[in-house]
Amino acid sequence: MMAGGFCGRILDVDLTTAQVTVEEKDERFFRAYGGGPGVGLHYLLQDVPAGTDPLGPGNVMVFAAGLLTGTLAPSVPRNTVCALSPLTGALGKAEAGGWWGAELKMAGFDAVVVRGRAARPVYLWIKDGAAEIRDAGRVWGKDTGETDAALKGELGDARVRITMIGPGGERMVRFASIVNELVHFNGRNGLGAVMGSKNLKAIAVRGTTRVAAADPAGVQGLARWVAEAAKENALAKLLHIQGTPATVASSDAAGGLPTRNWSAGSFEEAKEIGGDKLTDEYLSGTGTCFACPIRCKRALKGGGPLGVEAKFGGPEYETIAALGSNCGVGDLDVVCKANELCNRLGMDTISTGAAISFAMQCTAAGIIGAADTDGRELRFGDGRAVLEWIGKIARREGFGDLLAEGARTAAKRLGKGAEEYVVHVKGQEAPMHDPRVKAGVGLQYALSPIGADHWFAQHDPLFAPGNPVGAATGQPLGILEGVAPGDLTGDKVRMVYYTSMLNSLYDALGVCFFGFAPRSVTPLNKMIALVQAATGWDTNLWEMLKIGERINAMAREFNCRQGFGTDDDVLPAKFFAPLPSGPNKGKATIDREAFRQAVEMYYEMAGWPGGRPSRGKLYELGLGWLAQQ
Amino acid sequence: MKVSVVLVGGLRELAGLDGKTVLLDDPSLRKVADLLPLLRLPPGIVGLAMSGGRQLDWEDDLAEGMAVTLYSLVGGG
Ligand code: SF4
Repeated sequence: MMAGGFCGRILDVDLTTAQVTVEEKDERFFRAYGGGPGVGLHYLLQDVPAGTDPLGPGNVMVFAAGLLTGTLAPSVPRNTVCALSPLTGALGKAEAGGWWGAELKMAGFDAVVVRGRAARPVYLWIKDGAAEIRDAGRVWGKDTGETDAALKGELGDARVRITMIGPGGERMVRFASIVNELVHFNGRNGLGAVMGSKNLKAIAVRGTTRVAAADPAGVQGLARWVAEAAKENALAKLLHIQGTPATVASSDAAGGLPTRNWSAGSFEEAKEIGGDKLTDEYLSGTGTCFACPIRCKRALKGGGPLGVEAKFGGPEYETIAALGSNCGVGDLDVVCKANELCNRLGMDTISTGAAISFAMQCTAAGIIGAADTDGRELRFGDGRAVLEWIGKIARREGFGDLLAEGARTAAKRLGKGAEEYVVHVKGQEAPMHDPRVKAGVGLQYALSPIGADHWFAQHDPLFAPGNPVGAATGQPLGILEGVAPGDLTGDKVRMVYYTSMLNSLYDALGVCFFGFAPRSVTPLNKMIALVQAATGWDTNLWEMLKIGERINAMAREFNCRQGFGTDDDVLPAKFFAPLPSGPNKGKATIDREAFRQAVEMYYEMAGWPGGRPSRGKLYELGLGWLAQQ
Repeated sequence: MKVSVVLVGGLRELAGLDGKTVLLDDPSLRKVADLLPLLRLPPGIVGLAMSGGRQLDWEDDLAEGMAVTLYSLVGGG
């Protein structure tokens, strides 16, 4: 273990040959790529050529902790999983909080690279610098709760941290998730299906060596500062009080709450599924992640008419909207149960909800009928059907087998105009934020390398004129004026460009967005101080943001090599139509030409002429090895 | 001026109030932005203000008897 927040060791596992090796990496590697997606992309760019089958043995998965993860830096628990996505065919990348990433570092590894395909179900057991491939026959077919309990029992240690797939991943549902500790998820892009394709059920980790910081007292002092500041910081307190479900009410009021497969932006039963009701009637308290004082995770009482199991956690905003309002369901018992089922079966709640709401709209449009859906029409508002179809998708039963391919593929196969009803970018179903009320989110949907993603950059309202929250973060970045949420001028592109670098840096460090500026308590100068104290580097915001920019260029280059280009950086037609409800009803808030020009301007800012990083930009970012390939 | 305010999305707890609706009766009330200090809510924490289905700007005038709903700035995840 090096005294710089990282281990300098990457575990390399070939499941075809059952070989386990360790690759040593020096400080320069981590200073260039950070951790998380920087490490993942470094391997993917070398080892996953164009034409690789995402569900074949040639795909490579990288599980990488953040650079600071495992140190006592507060709210930095994240790990990233990267692989070629079976949902989009582009870069697959998903972050998760919890404890798994920290445990991996304490076990002596910064990342695990997984190649090939095991002949039969296996899991990987990593303990204190050693690793072995073990038989998983006993847990194959089990849900995540059963798997977690069985492997902890088999390993004889309840403190083992396990990241795993459920039946959805085993059956290669193209939006299967990876689940750690039952309540933390690498949710998007179908990376659970890639694990399933490799016959890899889980990675269990136990580490007992504290991750050494260069300046442990410095890290601890900063952690104490954050813990105290979080008690007073209004954004951190709001996250603790109500978490992301607070967004249901504000999205609904603004006309931006996806409802009935995006056919409306306000839901008449929004109060029934909102954060106030969830907090007042369903929660037992809050949960947290490794070394985080904010405690924003929703912990459920459980029970109720549907017998919800509390151990699978409470729903976040995305889940409530995707499986609630967007399916026309205004019943929190159903939403909590649907959340449990997705987490138990290992499927992304956004894409699962989107697949079901898409099918509901196909029913409403007469494209499918009762004969397609087991004799009962799949109608908006039918909560029982939502619960049933989650299981059918995970088991690939009947029409569920088609939905398990993702909404875009399902629509293509159905024909009859069904494609009009899929709201996706690059094949990934859109998160629950309507770009018509925040245009910068539309830009990030189009430009994110993983398809529609709401974390590629920060959201517009934070940087609206007069908002002191965005101003405090914007100033050190050079953003000195606020930009209106609906704006699509170069000022907005600049805000999106800078914060897309910041967000990728956060992923590389393992930072949770809900712990750091602009959304929460830790400001940028403290973030830099944490990096300095953990690593011992004489570094600054400029060098750190370059890590984010480097990762974005690597992701872009990876996608270009997989055949993606400017034609894929588009928004669904739905978002260019007038808003159907809310205070901006009837106004088309995204202009097609303005949007196209904004995307073009992002390329210009990034040094991606024609949508691809230029040779000069690659060299400027220290990626000459990519320019030479 | 008397204005009733509904606090949504954790703002009630943040303001340290028991009920979701609070009646403000204060001669200093003129603009929507004036509501925040009376409720001890820091600027930037309220993402949206609405009244009668209309989105309000911070500089909009308040009117006697107006009902305003304030929504927190959180954002999904
Ligand atoms: S803010 Fe919430 S999600 Fe983020 S690290 Fe803390 S508890 Fe986990």
